[in-house]
Amino acid sequence: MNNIAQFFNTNKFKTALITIAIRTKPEYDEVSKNALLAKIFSVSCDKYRTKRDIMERLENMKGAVFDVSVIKKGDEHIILFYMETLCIEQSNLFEEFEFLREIIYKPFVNENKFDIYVFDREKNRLLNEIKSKRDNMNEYAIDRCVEEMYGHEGFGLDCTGYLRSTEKITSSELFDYYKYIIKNCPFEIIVSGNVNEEEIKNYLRGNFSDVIFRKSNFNKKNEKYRDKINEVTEVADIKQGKLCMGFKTGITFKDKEIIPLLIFSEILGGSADSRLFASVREKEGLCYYINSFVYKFKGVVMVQAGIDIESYDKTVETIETTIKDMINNITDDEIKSAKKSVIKYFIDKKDSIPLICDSILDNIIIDENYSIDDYVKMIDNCTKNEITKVGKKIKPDTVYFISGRE
Amino acid sequence: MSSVLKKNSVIKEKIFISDKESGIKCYLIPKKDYVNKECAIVFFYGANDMNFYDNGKIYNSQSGTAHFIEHKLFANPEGDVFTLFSKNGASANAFTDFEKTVYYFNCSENFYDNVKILINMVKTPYFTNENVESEKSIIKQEITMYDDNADWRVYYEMLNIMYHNHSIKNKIAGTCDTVEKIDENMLNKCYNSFYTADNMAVICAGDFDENELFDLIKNEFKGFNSKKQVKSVYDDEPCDIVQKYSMVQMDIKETVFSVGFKLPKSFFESDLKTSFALKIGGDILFGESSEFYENLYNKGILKESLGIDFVSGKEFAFFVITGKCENPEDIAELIAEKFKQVQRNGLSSEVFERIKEKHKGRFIRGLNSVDAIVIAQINFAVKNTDISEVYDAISDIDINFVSGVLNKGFDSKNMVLSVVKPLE
Repeated sequence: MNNIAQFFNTNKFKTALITIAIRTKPEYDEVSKNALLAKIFSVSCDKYRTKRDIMERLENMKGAVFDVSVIKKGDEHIILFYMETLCIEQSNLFEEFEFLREIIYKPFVNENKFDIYVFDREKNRLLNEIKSKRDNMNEYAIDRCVEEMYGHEGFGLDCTGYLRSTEKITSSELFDYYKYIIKNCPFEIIVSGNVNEEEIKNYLRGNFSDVIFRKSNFNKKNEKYRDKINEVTEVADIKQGKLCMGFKTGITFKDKEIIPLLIFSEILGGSADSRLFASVREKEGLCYYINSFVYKFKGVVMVQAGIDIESYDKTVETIETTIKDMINNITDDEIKSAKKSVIKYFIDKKDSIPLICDSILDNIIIDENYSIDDYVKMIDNCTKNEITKVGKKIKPDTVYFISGRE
Repeated sequence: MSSVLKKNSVIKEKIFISDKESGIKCYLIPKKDYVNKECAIVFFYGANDMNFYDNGKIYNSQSGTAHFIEHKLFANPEGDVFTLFSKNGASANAFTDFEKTVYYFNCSENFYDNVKILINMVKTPYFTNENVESEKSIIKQEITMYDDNADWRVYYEMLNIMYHNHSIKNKIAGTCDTVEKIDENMLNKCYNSFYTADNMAVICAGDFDENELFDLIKNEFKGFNSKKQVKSVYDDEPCDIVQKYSMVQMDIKETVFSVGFKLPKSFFESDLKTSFALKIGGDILFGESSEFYENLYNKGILKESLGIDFVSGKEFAFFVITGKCENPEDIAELIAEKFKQVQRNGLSSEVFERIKEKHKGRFIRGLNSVDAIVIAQINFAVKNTDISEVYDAISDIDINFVSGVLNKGFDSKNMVLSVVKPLE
């Protein structure tokens, strides 16, 4: 992928989207710096120094949507710039790129430090966000489960950052980190919509010329497994317990086996028609919601459920037996339905401009060139054998439970 | 079935609307080149429709009945309808709110088959003593899940102190007690009264042949409950609020608040223009480019943008601003003052034009998604209008109209503040 940008040209949508991904592989302390940078990027630059200035500028671009966030794809943490504007007739998006250039290359700094008012305020906002993660118990249980499974590296690191490392960051340290990543990290520019590719490429050559193609390899780490499940419980003042159970397989998004794994997970807990729904909810009445999903870059299968506090042991047991029972008696009908769902998951991306750009980014990261139709073919061709084989690789690793008080 | 084709050449969208004589109101929005197709059936019967005229007498159903019916319609003597949808590659869902119940699915293949499944599902209720009893425990768990959610809690406490009697103060899913009292008879009575051909609409968006689809929908709905839809009854509701303030504590890290304005009769069942005018007005006053927000953001008092919403329906209307901050009592005062200030000084025309363009732009952006189109059209269907009217309705709004709606009803005497704080 040696291009200055990736394009998906289409006049199907009413908008065009530019995403710029700065790919980092942070250490523990650097995650918080990524998170803080993303916040500062989203609210100020030298030309538009306040959040209000930025919002006014966007409103003047017919309500353009702009955001900067940090997302994880496997072990990579990506600072993602998102800029979506109205675009019905063909456009070269110069106004939008200019705006992004201001944001990325000309931050609001004084004397080699981020402006102290912006820095302090955004730091407080980030600290606040980290503290209140727990308010969304469902997601918090999942994040804590991942952290328990992988520790403080790569995929186990929380993109939102950590309290103590955030508190320690100074504005000159953060500016140094900013300069470092601008100089060293791979940048990926992805554009989708009714756009003039040539004009945009010329613009980028002139204005983003220092973005040299820096190859980042998709490193497959050897997966580490536990002999005994790690069970972690936390107590909160809630009525309904939140359970999250994580399983490892060692499969990654670059491996062909990811396809049968997605199908397996769909049968296991992908819908109201799934094994887990039938066994844990309908048969045992243990929960209101239960489902499974896959972190596809790491081949991790997660099961989450909302259960009564007393039902913990029975639920964990039922989940494990459901998987065991499933491995050797998956029906053809189940496979047929599950394939349809997984195909739908991929096909649906064609109708979403953000998901189109996200798929292109996925391809860049795993260094492949699969189209959505390629994935559909792979799913169609998947055999029961392959699905069963992958089911045997699923090893329980951690259970994270947020229990109510007795 | 004859239909009306409406086009809007600015936003480049079309909509086919069936007329009255065909019996079932349909809104079909073709989206060429889209893989996803979505179909929704909406019944204009929701959580607020608890009490209604039934053969000259008033029937009182339990709170949570509409939502119970929504759950149970997926049951079928042969099993769950979810399985049928799943086999056909569709993903189905439903929801109930104050004034409607919506059943919908999306899929990329077998669309017509799935439409038939959906129609047959809503046409053939299967309520038995046994399946009603077993659903109760599931619904009670759903209620418990919502009880643990601070955003729901703050909202319901707000409605509680805003409304004396109106059924809107009851939780959509009901309470564990009210759900316990629901039985097969009640479900049947409510279903037969409200699930009628004249009390519903079908909305579809995607790449399909609209004439084929019209015919299919009309055929499948043949013989459907042609009873005239009943009239809901609402208890007398005074215009004043119950009390100004409510505070509860939950195990959360950040205080959440809802400031609500109970609006007068002229806002009940508002039309499109008024609804958008209030959205625009709210954005001008409290949105992310407003002076109000900038002040509080710079001081670190507000860390995220405020949620701004206007809700109106039968015999109720309110405007709500939600957010998170340490001292919501101060914010509430500032909000009240802001309204006073605008009522005195009016709005800036430069800001108005900019925000209006933003809302037009955001509306157009919403047309990117089949799902967003269907959800938006469902809400327009409640007001008996459609997406082709929206762009013009927004364009017609001028600064005086917005000032006008902000002038009536936004007073501190009809303002309430609901707060959910962390435990000590």
